[in-house]
Amino acid sequence: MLKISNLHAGIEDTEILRGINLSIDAGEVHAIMGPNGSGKSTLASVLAGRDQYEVTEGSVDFLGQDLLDMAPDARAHAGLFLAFQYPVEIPGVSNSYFLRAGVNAVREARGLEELDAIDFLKLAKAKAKELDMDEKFLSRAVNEGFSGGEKKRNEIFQMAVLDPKLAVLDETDSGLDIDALRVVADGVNRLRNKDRGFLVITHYQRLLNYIVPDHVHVLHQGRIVKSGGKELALELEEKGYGWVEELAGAAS
Amino acid sequence: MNTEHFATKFNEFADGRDDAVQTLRRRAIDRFRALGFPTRREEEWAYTDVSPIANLTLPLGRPTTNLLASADAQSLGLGRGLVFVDGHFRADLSHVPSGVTFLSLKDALEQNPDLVGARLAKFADAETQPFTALNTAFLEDGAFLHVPKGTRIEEPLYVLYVGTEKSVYPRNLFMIDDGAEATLVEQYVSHGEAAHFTNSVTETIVGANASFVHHRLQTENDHALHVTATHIHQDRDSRLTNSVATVGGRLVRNNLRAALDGEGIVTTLNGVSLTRDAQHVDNHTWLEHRKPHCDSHELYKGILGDQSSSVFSGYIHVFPDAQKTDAKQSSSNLLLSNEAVADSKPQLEIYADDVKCTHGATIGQLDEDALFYLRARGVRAPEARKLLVRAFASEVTNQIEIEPVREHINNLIAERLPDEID
Repeated sequence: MLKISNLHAGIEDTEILRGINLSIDAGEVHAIMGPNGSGKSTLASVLAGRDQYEVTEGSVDFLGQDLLDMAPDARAHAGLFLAFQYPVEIPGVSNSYFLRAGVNAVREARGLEELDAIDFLKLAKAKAKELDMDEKFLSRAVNEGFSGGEKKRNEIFQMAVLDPKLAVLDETDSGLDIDALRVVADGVNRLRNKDRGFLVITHYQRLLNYIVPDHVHVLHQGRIVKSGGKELALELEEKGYGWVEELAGAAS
Repeated sequence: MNTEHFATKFNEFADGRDDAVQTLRRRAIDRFRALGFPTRREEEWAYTDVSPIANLTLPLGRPTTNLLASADAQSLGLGRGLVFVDGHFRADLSHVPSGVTFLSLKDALEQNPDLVGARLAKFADAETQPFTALNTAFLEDGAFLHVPKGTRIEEPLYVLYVGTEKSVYPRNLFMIDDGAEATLVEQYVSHGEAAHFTNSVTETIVGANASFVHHRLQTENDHALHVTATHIHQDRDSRLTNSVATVGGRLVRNNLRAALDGEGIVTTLNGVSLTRDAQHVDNHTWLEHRKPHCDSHELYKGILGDQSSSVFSGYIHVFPDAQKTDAKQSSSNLLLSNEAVADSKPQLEIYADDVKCTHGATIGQLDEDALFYLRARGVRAPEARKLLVRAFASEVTNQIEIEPVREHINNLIAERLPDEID
């Protein structure tokens, strides 16, 4: 469903991604691990369409469409979802208003009828319950005054309601304690099915104990230097990111 | 400047009149001629050039009979109430609720000269304020509300001013006696696209332990010129909320002066303005904390597009006697264009030593991260911008308890948002 070919991208004059190649099929969970500065978040931002980043080379095909040619909202309509590393606070907009606007824009783009406030609330409450979230948060302003764990759970909640085809999780585990991590991972696992793909970007192997990936890729200086099965994450944990330097050295 | 044009108009208007307020008018036109129009050299007018008004040659609004049909008035107004066309009361278009003294000032002056005369022009300063002097010179009609002691008016009262292509001088007097409660919505709209000039003065007298909520919505056309002065006098333990929404008009100046003249008063002043093209909106407020234990909350928000400009000046004067004053003032502006200009000027003069006074002013642009977050969830860019602008205004608009008024303002914000946002 997603095919990234020779992707080069950067910010201003600094190249951060230097030739990423990655294919994700429906039903697969891919994990990308890498040290700080390896380009993990840049990859997530480029996929979601953040315009600070400039793509200089390569292509991304998403379900037969040229993803890089699409506006961020069009990417969401096509079924892409990004769980933000740093979810944004929006004072004055309630979570339910925010998400209903998103859900209905996506539904409209897919030729479905809009959900009215009551149907939306039914759906939202059911999903909130699954994620062990107090439904009162729906009337609170988007992420305003939320703890780190609440913000990340809110991302997973939005993902559950928007029902994407491919979800990119950008360091959703960073800063979470084990309990919060479990809730987030359970939320993700509940959504795993044969039609949906996941790209889980993480700094820590720990998350992959809870979300067990089909494929693990190691990112270093903007390139994937090693790919393997779930055991690669454990090996990386054991040997540390210093090992990545050696791998990169051997690869070049 | 063209002071003499207005003096000539006055002579035509005043000739042969000998009613109860004629002395007031004559005194006022003399003051206006002596003061002249304010210039930008004066501190209070430094950001606003009134020459488009000073150079006006529009005819004075006269009573109309067939201009505007009942259906038009109803579609323009958010609720049924008093309707004025070109500054003059139209009984045929108005709906006067029973059980409350709510009528045109002209009729009130005829029916109850003592009650009205005792309060009229007691608080609006025609001696030093040129536009108040000009309004007083042409004083003839407006809305009059008297809520007697201990009376609670449940339903909001509505006043609709429809301007066409004239100069008009509405004069309002609202008297909320001790322990009384009322809510009033004052709307200014245009009929047609011609330029017109409104110079209104409102005197509001709120008695001890009384409560008054006053909404003022200015949604005139883009050529309208509008200067207003609201004078508020509050007695002890009273509560007043004044909420001003300015959306229309080419040049708008809102002056608001509130005297907190008793202990235990709560005063809330809210404002929101949305400007585009070359619109200019200037909000000036003066608050006098005269007695101890009074709270004031002031929150003004401006949304500016294109080459528009806005001004907020908030002056708070805490008298030596006004210990335990709690005054909060905040103004913030959202610039949707690189060419828009917002000026914000808080001024505190504090002569008491045991008070809390805070003020803050911010000027910013739409949050790019929030915009991207919304778009990443599927919300298209124009809708995402509208949502964020509406959210910016919501701190003010959410305080509006009358749903049609709140929704009207929210809808106007969405409709009038400039297409291009930098």
